[in-house]
Amino acid sequence: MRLFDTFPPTPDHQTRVALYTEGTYPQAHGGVSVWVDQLVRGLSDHLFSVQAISGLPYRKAALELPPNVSAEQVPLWGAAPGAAGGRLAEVGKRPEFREQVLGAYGALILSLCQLDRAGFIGAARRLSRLGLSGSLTPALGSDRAAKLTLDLWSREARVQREGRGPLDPRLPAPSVHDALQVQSWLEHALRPLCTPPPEADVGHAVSNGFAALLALHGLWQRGTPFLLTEHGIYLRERYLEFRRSAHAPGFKVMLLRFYRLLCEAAYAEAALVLPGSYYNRRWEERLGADPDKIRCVYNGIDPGNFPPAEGEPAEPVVSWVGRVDPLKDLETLIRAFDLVRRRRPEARLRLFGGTPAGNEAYERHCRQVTADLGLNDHVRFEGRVDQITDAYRAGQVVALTSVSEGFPYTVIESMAMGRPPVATRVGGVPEAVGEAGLIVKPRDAMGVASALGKLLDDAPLRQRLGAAARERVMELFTLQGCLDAYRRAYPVAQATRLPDWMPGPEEIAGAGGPAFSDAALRAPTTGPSGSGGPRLGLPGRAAPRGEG
Amino acid sequence: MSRPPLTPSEAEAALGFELLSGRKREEEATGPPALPNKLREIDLTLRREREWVADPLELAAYIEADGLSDEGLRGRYGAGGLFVAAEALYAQAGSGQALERRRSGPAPRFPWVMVQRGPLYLLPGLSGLLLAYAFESRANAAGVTDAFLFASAFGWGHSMLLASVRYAEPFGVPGRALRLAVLLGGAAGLVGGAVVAGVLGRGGATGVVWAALLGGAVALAGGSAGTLLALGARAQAAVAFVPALLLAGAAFLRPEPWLELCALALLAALPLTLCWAATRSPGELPARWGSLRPGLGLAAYGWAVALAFVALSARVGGWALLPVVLSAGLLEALVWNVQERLQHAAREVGDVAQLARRGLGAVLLAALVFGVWLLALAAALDLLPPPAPALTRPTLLAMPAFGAALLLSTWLANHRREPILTGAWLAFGLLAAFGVPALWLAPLLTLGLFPLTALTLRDLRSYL
Repeated sequence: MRLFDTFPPTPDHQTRVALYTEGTYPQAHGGVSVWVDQLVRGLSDHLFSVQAISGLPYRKAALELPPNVSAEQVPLWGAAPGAAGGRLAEVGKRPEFREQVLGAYGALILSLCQLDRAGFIGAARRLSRLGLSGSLTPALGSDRAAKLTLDLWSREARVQREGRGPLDPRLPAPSVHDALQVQSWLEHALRPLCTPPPEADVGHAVSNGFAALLALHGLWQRGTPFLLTEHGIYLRERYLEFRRSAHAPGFKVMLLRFYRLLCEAAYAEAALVLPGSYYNRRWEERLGADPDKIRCVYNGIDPGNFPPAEGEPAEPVVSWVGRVDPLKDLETLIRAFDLVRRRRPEARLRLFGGTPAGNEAYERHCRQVTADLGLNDHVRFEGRVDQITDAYRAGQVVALTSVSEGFPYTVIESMAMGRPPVATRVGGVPEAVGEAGLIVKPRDAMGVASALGKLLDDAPLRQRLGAAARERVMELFTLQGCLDAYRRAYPVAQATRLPDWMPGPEEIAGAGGPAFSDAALRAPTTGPSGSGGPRLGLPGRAAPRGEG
Repeated sequence: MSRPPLTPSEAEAALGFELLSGRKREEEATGPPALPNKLREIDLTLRREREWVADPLELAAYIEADGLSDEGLRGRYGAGGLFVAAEALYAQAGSGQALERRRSGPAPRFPWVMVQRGPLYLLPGLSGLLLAYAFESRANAAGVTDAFLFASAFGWGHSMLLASVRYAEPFGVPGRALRLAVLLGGAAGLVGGAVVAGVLGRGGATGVVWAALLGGAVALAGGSAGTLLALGARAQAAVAFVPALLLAGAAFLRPEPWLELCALALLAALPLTLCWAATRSPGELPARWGSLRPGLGLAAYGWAVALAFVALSARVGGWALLPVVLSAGLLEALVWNVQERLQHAAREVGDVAQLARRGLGAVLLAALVFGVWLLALAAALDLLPPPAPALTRPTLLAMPAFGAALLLSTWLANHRREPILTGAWLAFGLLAAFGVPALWLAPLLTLGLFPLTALTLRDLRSYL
């Protein structure tokens, strides 16, 4: 029996994509925004309805929208849904509606306390349905919601404390303040469920988290299947965000549980999960993503924008390009360069990139390390540059010493220009570099120094690796390859759409679960570990060396 | 989700090469893996953070961010990969134990800086009052003082509306909406001043014009001061009125039309200019009536309190209310401090009944402090020699209860109780106008607010 109808795109039917973003396109500049911009412009034969999660409402988009794109913002803060009156407000205030919302909210709190994915999906789905009828805010902002949060959480914490095993997650007992903070935060976090999902053939969440919440909302309310792109691992980034935060433990724990269950729900319900590197698969699988649904799609660049650099600087110069951030571990690079400079006093290190707000102390620290090592004449903090290509051209070698990365553009851009990278073995970096550069351990100043020295001392090696790097980018990491992958992925996800007469996904799951059909995806390539299945859009290419 | 604790021998059996090398998933094992010696090296750097994690995955994220990859963990540390290493570390004693510690922080400090706001509120009023007397003595325009009284009373609710608009956009400055509110206030002062003077039929056409001008100027100045104070620009609020106050003083001593006009212009223009500069940011709230509507309940409450004050001052004299106006900053500071104490208690307590008891203690103590302070200040003013009028004994005795009622009312108004409070103050004003003595009214109001306070303290949102 055929479980799925398929709707292959026809010339007279433009594929309508509901594109879900969070804090990126079109409201802010940055790597993911550039990626989305390239996608929507590259797939100009598709229609994109963007729903953009923002913190506060933004007044003006940072990026100009092409004609095939419309955008709607979905702010988590600012005026609540229905604040201006109308049907949402009127329904939201009805006692029977509030009761239903509070019932679903209680189930959501319980699922958070018990880390129960099925319970979370059930509760979120109920709220998703209710959110389309009326504003959730009157119920979720009420005293009863606060008491519900406190009571359920206190009870669960008590029960779990009595029988906790050494590997079980911890649920601290809440204070009233914890419960209030969590209730208030959840009221904001669930506001996207009051936004009607766009009519679309397929959904596309550009990250997990809130973008995926919109995608789930679209799936549940309109039956729009979605694919999930992950450049980094959303949940891991949230863990790191809270690592040194001053939030109360209870608040932190419940928020992280919400993120975890939301991410797991998205992995479970997405038709396809498309990480930006194979490295990310480990987290995705760990969080419950079906390995058969995971396909890696590498970021791509337009090689025309990064032509091979002619010649190289006469002096031994190392370039670094990025934002000044502790995750980039500039300190190790500076210390490694100190070792290089001892052997080659004429060597220079040029650091290109700005310092985001909040990282000023880290920049001061790096400058202090530079001064302490007596490197002020050798290391230059160049700040932002107008033309990024100038930054790559400025060095004989490009270094990247990050301790955490997804699949960094800076590496493939420098490689496209024929500059061999010295980069750390983190995230998708080894997959990007392959054998066209030198890979070193993170936080290993000696290793970085040794690799930099090796390349600076050996011009023929630089030339050979530079040529290999350019070739590798042209083979594996072009924008066109990335666009082709998505052009193929959309119909595959679309094919999982249930016809109207079919029961919903949870009913089917109860009867054995939907069979994922990836026949349309079968490209003749295997992933590096052999277990990853075909890669979208990269047929016939050699598998990159690196992480399994 | 929990497993029975392992005996030492069982835990031993669960260890071993297969698990730590990753050949066997930890879920298949019967218990948590112990820590191999090499992982202790990582644990040395992560031990303190381990006390704050709630989940092995959280620890895995930290390990990875510190530069330890799957490969490194397998090769150098002999662990079966990132997640196995994270679980091995998480299973050690002490993981997550700090999560149970309540971090309430130090007790909140009293915001002494807010106390100065009382005298600051007095500045626009004093300038306007001097000008009103100057007009009246020169042009015999009796309605001007009535217009001033109207503008002052209007300013009470108006400043509450402005505060409400300001806090509608806590992460920014809602410049457009604030400017609209200030201008509307100015217009209301202008029209209201003229209407009051016209209705009372005192001072003739000239009086009505002067009354309209003064009403508009005082309302604009008061609104500007309210905006500056709501934005925390205390110094600007103080500086804005100094020139107008000096000129108004000069006009009061030597009434001249040009001097009065200059003072009036300065009273309106300088605070407004500074207010305009402070609200340069347009903010997210649009300049629409809809942006002001949510604050109208609070404004109505402010106007009800002002009407009660007018009625009361008609009975006991305006001088008796000077301690209240001078202590407006202290009142705000006490309410602020009470709220911070409630939040502080909410961080320490997980039981609603216990918290409500502590909260009631904090609110009532603040009410008592404010009442006693008003009594002390009124008694001090009573010691001033003539021409300062003497206060009657019943008025003095009513002060503590009146102060307590005012504090409870101000705190309750911050917790969505303004409809009941508006009614209570209107009733207070009405009864005062009908001659019910303040000595009876003030304790009655205070007692009436007790149950509402107790009820509000049972609402968890009162601790936000």
